[in-house]
Amino acid sequence: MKKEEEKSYVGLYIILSFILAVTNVWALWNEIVGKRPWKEYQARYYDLEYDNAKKKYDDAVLAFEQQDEQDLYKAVEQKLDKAKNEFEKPKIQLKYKKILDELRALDKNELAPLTFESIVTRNKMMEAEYQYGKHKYLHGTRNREESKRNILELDDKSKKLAEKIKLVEEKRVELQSGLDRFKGAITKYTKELESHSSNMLNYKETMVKLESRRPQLQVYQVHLEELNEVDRCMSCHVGIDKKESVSEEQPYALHPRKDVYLDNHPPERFGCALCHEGQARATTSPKKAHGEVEYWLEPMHKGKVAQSSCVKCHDRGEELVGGEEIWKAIKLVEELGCYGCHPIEGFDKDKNSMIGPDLVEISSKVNPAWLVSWLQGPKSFRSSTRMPDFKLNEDDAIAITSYLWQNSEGFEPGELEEFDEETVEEGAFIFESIGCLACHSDVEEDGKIHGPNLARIGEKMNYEYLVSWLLEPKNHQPRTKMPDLRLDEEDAKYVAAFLTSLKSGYLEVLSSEEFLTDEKTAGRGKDLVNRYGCFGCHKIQGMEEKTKIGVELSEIGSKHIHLFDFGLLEKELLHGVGLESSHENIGEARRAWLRAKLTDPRQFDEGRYKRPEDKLRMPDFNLTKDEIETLLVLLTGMREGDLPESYIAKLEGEKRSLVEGKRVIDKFNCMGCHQFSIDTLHLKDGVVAKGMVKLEDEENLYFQLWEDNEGLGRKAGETMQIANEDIKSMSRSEGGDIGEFIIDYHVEVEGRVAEEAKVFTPPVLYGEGKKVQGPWLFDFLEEPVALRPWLDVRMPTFKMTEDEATVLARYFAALEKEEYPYEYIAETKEKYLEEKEKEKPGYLTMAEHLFKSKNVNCASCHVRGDITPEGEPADWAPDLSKARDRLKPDWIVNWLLDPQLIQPGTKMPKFFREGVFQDIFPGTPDEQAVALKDLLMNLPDEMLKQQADESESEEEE
Amino acid sequence: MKKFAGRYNIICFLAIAMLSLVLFFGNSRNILAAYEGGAVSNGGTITGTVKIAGDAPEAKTLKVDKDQATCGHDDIPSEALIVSGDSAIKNAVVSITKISKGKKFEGGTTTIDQKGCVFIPHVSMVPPGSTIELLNSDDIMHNLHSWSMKNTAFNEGVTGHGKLPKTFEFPETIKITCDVHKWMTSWLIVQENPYYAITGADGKFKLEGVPAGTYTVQAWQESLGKTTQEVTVSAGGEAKADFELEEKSKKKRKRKRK
Ligand SMILES: [Cu+2]
Repeated sequence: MKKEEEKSYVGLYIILSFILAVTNVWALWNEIVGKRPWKEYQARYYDLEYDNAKKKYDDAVLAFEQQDEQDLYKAVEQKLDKAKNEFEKPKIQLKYKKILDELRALDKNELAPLTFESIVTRNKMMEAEYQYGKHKYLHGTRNREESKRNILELDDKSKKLAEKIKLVEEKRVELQSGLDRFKGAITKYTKELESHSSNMLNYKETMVKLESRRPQLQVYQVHLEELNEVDRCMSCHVGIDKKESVSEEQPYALHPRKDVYLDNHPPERFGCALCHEGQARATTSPKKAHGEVEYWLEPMHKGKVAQSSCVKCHDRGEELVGGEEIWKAIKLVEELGCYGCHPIEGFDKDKNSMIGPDLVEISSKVNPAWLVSWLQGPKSFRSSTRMPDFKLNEDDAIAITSYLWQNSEGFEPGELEEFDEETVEEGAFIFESIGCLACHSDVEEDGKIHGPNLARIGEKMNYEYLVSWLLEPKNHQPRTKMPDLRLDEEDAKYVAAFLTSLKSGYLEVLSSEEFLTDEKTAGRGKDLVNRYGCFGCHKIQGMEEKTKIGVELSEIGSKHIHLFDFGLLEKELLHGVGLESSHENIGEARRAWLRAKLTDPRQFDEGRYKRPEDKLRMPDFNLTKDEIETLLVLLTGMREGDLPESYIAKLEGEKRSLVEGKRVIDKFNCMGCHQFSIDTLHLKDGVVAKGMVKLEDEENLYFQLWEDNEGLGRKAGETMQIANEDIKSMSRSEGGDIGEFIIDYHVEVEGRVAEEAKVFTPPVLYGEGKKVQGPWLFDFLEEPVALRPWLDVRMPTFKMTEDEATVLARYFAALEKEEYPYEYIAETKEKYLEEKEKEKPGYLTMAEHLFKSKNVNCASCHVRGDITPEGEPADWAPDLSKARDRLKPDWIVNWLLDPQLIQPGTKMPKFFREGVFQDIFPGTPDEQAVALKDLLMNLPDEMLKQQADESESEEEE
Repeated sequence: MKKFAGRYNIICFLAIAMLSLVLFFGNSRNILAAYEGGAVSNGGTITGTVKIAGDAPEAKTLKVDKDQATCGHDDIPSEALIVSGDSAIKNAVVSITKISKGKKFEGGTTTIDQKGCVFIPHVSMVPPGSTIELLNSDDIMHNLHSWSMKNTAFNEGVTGHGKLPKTFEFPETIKITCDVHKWMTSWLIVQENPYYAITGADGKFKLEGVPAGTYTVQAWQESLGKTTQEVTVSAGGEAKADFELEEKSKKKRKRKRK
């Protein structure tokens, strides 16, 4: 054993030092490189950016070096040389110099002294004004008079000077343009030459800049102060909000639809994780940053799923650009009525609506055999129904039918009636012409789903109930959307007869109807109704107070993954989305469960023992894969936690009016009858044209402009031929779907041309806000009256709430940026007419003469209160006594000036052209139209009553 | 004298400018290019008769229920379908549908009048680009409403004894009505080429100066629609083409008595 002081630790020391050194190096490397993958991404991005610029430059050089281009360039160069030589010629130079000298002389000898003098004068004036103010307080009037005179003199002088300067400057401009003319060719060719090489030079500049001034590699961090969040995503995704894309690959790519997403949500205020979630502060690995690590509660939302975040800030009622997926999902939830069973915050707000029909009169409404069959599979009777499949067997269906029968009130349906062909035909005629086709269809599924498909309705409904229902739907179903068409009893019977005739031989007759009154069967039915929660969507006698049976979904997107019962399917479902355990990616795992639930709601029971009452109950909605993915976006977005107030995009003002209005329009399917917008054509040369396509053939379309178009150099009303190849895209008008049926009828049966038949379609509501007065519209919506005697199709009485009518009236006003509800109408005030009479004595009488003149003769077609025109009522035009309260004065004037511009095809002709009716009402067409408008806003009583109208009766005799 | 010359120059300039404008727009929209007229030597002829298939329907009348002082108190015979004893149809239009070259296009209707609340003539024809005077010879207001698709549609009131000139750019069959008097109907055919004929009461037609070749010939009548057949014409020869138009079976849906 060596003595301590003789021992050598050098070896150990060296080893330890070595380890320390290695550790240090490793630590350093790890800190600088290993934990900073973003450095590599950033460097690569800048390389890509440079490559991109270089490629563009190379392309430009290549293009420039093309023979054609070179020839062009050389030719211009030669022209430039020639122009320069021309300019250098002594003769030209002499002339040029002469003008130049003149110009300089003008500047020096005339303009400069004048300008100087003008400045001096202005200064003097300022001084004088100052003196005047001083005198006012200090000295007597004499001084003030004097200085006032002084000011006036100076003012006069400066005006004269200004005039002189103007003259000199005009002269100068003339000389200058003379000079320019000499150099014109040179300037022109120089510019042209530049235009050939400018692309190349610009790219070169960009390229050089990128190379020499490459940014330092650094962490890009956004601090969201209000949320106390740090967002470092852009350290790797450097190019996400750049102007130009340099790569499609992540993390170098540009944000898709950047103009929508990033321009509206600048990253410096919103960061990335506000929409995309993930672990935005992490910088050590992409997986960590994306939150795709165990137990991270909010893994990143990729692709469409990011739209789930829209509803964090945006109102669910608003259709968002860029939020297409979540909007579809919201509509789908409303359509399916998910909130019938599942409480969901923000849905089920409209108390004036229902998901499924009330069943309190079911026994008088339907055929019991139909109900038994329906309950066993609603979609096999009507594939478009929203009623889901509860997978009931026949016993269950019979039990439920029995319970519902014994808990409903009604009348004994009479014997099944058969109707003769003529009655059915008459019913079909009314059905087709009055407007039913806007919502319903009498042929098998044709995509129309606003109202139930009626192709087999005869197998379902009782005739008596139908008659009574048609007469007053709300009497039977107070919350139905079905409006009252104001049918008289005779018409209702015809329509009901037609509907009862719509059968397909689908039903089997029941072997016995005893179960309908059997109490025991009904008891079993009651248990089933309770179990499946039928009362969530339907009103059932005695079950009005029951609560929804489904799980609340308001925060399903935050629900803990442990609470989802995967049953025996966990492995299978997780593997399906590439996960080993649900913790790896909680978001994906949650969506995998929801996807499975929506695909086959009861599959989690598979292979497990469960007591019958514990088994899953959710019905099958028969959703497509796309629909399910869409719903998942919304479900992912239904999360706990609120953002600060300042982030919330409140729905206010005009936008709110439009959103709320659109909701009511959809609810009552206004667009089933009315056209709300017009076609928009985007042409390849950038011109945008608004109007309607009138005709399309192989090469062209014929487009009628509804607005003046500067780009096309055409006026509103004109029809023009546009070649299909010039059209980039077109967005079609919305609404008016029933029109084609009506046109078809008038063409086929009456032999009219299609354009003419359009007159019989419901009025177009494009621009309605400019046309009618708000209060009138409100009243009309509450209680419609027939305005257009020639229409068979009828505006129904929707019995909408006052709130709904207000929302609609406000919508039309907001669309046209009109005032609502208060708008001052001057025309009806006494003072207005007094002034008109003062300007033009006998004003209103002259207007009346115009109105009655045989060449205008409004009364020839228009009803006026009591007075009706000759001919058949179907040929009359609207009642003019209603104009005062209904129409906006400005609209009347525009209408009178050219009706075809407002409503192409209208039977109302244009009357007022330059120079006509001067003997009756001298003035321009505009003045004549204004006068008629003033008369219409103030129609005297005697013009609305038959006996007082002498001139007309005279003419008749 | 100098002044006059100056004005003359301006007129010349304007005329040339207008002409080039018309040519420019015309060419840009391929209308003038559609048919080229010139001399046809030794052209052939197509003749024939247009008849209705089956029994001749009863003649209809139109009820005059307005402005009887001017329009008369009696019903007016309908011109929608006029069939003579031997099934010949009046006012059918026979034409060659596609022909790019042929005789010069001249003539056409110059005026359509409204007289006694009837359009005269009932069927008329103009070349594309022509202007036609729409007259009102009555003492009351008529309105002229064109239900056109390709040409800009119009609907204007025309004062008693007034007139309204209108230009028609594109080939098209246009229905013109007066909406004040719903029985008033007229048809204006803006015809692409000069090979057309409007049948008289005997249903006969004749297309002359047709260059030799095979053509699709169409017969159209406002109530019966149209039918076509291929016709081959030899140089200087006469080809025969008779047409039979069938009454369309109408959809059965009646209007409820009110
Ligand atoms: Cu008329």
